[in-house]
Amino acid sequence: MTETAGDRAPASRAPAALPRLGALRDRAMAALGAPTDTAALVAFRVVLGALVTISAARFLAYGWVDALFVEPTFFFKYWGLSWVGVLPAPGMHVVFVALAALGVCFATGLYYRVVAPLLFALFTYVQLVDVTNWLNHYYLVSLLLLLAAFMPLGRAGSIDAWRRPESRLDAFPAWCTYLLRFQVGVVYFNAGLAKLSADWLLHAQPLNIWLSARTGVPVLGAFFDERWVAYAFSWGGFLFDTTIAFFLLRRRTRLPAYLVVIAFHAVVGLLFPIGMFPFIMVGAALVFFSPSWPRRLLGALRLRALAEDAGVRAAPRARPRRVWSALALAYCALQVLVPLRAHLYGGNVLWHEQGMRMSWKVMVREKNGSITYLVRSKKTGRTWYVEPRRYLTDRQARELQSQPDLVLQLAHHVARDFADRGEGEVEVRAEAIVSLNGRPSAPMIDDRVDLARVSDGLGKASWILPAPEGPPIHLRPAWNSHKLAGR
Amino acid sequence: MKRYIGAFVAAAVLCGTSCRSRSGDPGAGSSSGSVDAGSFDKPALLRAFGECVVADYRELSTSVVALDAATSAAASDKSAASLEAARAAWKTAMEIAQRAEVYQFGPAAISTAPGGRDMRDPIYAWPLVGRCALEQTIVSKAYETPGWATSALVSTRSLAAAEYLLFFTGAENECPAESEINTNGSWAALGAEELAARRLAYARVVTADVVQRTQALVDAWDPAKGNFIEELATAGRSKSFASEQMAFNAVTDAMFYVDLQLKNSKVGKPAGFLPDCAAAPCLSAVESPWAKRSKEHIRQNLAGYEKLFRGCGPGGSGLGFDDLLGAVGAESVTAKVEASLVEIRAALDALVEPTFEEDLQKNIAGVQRLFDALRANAALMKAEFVTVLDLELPKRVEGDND
Repeated sequence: MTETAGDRAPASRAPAALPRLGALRDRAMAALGAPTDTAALVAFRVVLGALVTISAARFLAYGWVDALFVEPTFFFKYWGLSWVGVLPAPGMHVVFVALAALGVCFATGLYYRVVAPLLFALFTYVQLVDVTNWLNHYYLVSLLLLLAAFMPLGRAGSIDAWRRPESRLDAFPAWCTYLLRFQVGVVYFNAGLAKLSADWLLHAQPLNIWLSARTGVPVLGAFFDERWVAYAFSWGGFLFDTTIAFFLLRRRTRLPAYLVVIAFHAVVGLLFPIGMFPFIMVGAALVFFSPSWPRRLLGALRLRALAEDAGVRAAPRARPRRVWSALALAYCALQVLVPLRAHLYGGNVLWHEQGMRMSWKVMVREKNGSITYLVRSKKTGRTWYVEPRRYLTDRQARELQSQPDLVLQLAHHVARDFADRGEGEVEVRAEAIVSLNGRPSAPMIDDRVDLARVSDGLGKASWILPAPEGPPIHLRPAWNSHKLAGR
Repeated sequence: MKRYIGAFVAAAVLCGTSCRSRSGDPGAGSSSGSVDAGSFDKPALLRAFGECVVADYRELSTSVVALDAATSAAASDKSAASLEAARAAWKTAMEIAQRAEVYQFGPAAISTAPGGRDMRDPIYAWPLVGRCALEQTIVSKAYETPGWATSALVSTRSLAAAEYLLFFTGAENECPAESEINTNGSWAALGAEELAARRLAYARVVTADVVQRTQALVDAWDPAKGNFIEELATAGRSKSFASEQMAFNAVTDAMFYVDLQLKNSKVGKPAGFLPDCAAAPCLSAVESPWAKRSKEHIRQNLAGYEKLFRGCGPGGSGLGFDDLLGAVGAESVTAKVEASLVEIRAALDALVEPTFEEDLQKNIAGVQRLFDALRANAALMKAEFVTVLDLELPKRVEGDND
């Protein structure tokens, strides 16, 4: 076989390309290790710790620890994590007190190297106890705490640095900032992608439903049952989520973009009961600012002593080790790929919910339904109608009605309970009638399937029926008190 | 960026203009049920709910006054005719009380609900009725103690206790053999005549208390007194309801009585469809074991539900949830709820035995049909109704959400 010039070309280019790749990698590593001002990440640490403390205090003050962890007799488990159990009373109260205290330690940088991983572990444990408590923004907090545990954020602007000046850092490596920016950017971008659907963009649902029910809101409420407002909110939300990280990254657009972040989350927080979500997102978006932004702010406030630069320029570059770089790359890849896994299942993820969690599908569906288990004794043939509330709290029952994997888990529990009560082996079928974004209700689970014999897993669930076709409901404007008052 | 935002705002304004012109079309709301979009307002609907409730509470108040008078007469002259008159008065009062069962929002609701003052149980406490406790009270004559009704357990008073006291004529009691009234022979020592007299005397105290409790409930809603109607109608600006939506949630929470109590406790449990009944049917679980009025109670519960859904006036006139559904363009949901109500009524009418207990024993298929019809209605309410109006299912724990 004769070798041609074309065949040879790649081989001849390879030696030149490899050094270029190597140089690129060196430049990247140098950039990642570049010293940056500690101020912004210290501020981030303070904000994150404070948010965790406030969040834990809210749970204690409002009695949510009892409602979510003490009153339930059954807890839904994450697949593969069924070993994570709830602590007996007053264990969970102690956990939340510890979370509040650790949040303070984290914020002030006291025993940071121990506190940061402990706070991550404890905060994540609380999230893992019961699937019904899943919240995207607490998942984000867990991830931020995980990342922070690998960062030297306690070695500047902290009690640790004050107690042991020899451990103090004058600069943090730039990869800390980049990684946090990446994480927050992933959240926003995926939240935007989740809105790239016909329901959201073409039918303005579920915002049309949500806003129509909020016409009593002062001033703005008068317009909320106008369809165009729902479309404006839908498209605005989609454009905001998909683009805001890029505007926050650009220096020229950063400040206006951040003001938009504040306005967006303030409106969302005023309209919907989303607790800490706006505060967490507004706090997290601070990572996009210059590493020195707190010093500039303090300087502008004439607090020059606090605003002094600690000597970033003199700090040495700290090239990240290869193993850490590889781990960070793997983490980033996971953060990109995990939200995309929902596409592997096909169909409408908002209906079957396979791949829904950890995908940043935030506030994209209005889903309600009715679940009844039909339990048939194989011994006697007698059939019972079992309501989920027999085993669940109202909040758990509410979450169950929209999440098929929870319906399956409870079916297994019902089967075990009937066996324990001496009824022997039973068939458990679920009659699940569900409405998504105001569509006519439809069966979500195949009621011919004995769920007691179906195993939970990551594969496509054949016992979940296809989503109903056809558009969601279009609500008409309905006059309200404010419009009448103005006539 | 500026161009992008500008284009977006322009598009929104254009869309807004066109949408406004469509909704301003005189014919736009003509097919939206009995009220067109241009004349509907939510505070008016909330006020209509309040007026509906007050009208039935006033009727209840009148009927329990009549019951109290009839019971007093029966306790005084001890004749069979006056006892029958008292029983008839109880049945009349209960028909209205059963409608009001579905109105458990505002002062009648539990104290943790918006505006709730626990005012329902002292009027009709079912399923909190303790027969043994009633029989112990008959023996002790505790009801004769001044102010007894203010401190006695709710399970020993209310219209539910009155049913036992007016309708049960048996000589046996339900207390265990080791109970004091059986071990010391105090129950056995009561002759039939004394037992009947004590039951009526006790009933008289109970009905007198119900009169006061019902009047207190009327007063709580009365525009000239507690004026909870205004509290409801001005939701969003009132103390009890931070928003109109919160008020609508309170009303729909009350309507879920048809699911939780009617479907499950009144039909499913006695029929043995729920796991609480070991050997079906569980006749002891029927609502009205002494007066045998369980089916009539169910009928009246539905009537109360229909008033809130359709409107309180004759033939379902006046504002109801169907008008709100029509106004927002969800007529299909109204049609489905109406169809489910027709099926429930048909299933109920098909239970032709004299009592519900006999239906449970002789016509379990008919009871199953009623149960299935109630299940279909509940599923519809929990799925489509709450979705299109963005309502919450009952008693949701407050918390963070996203």
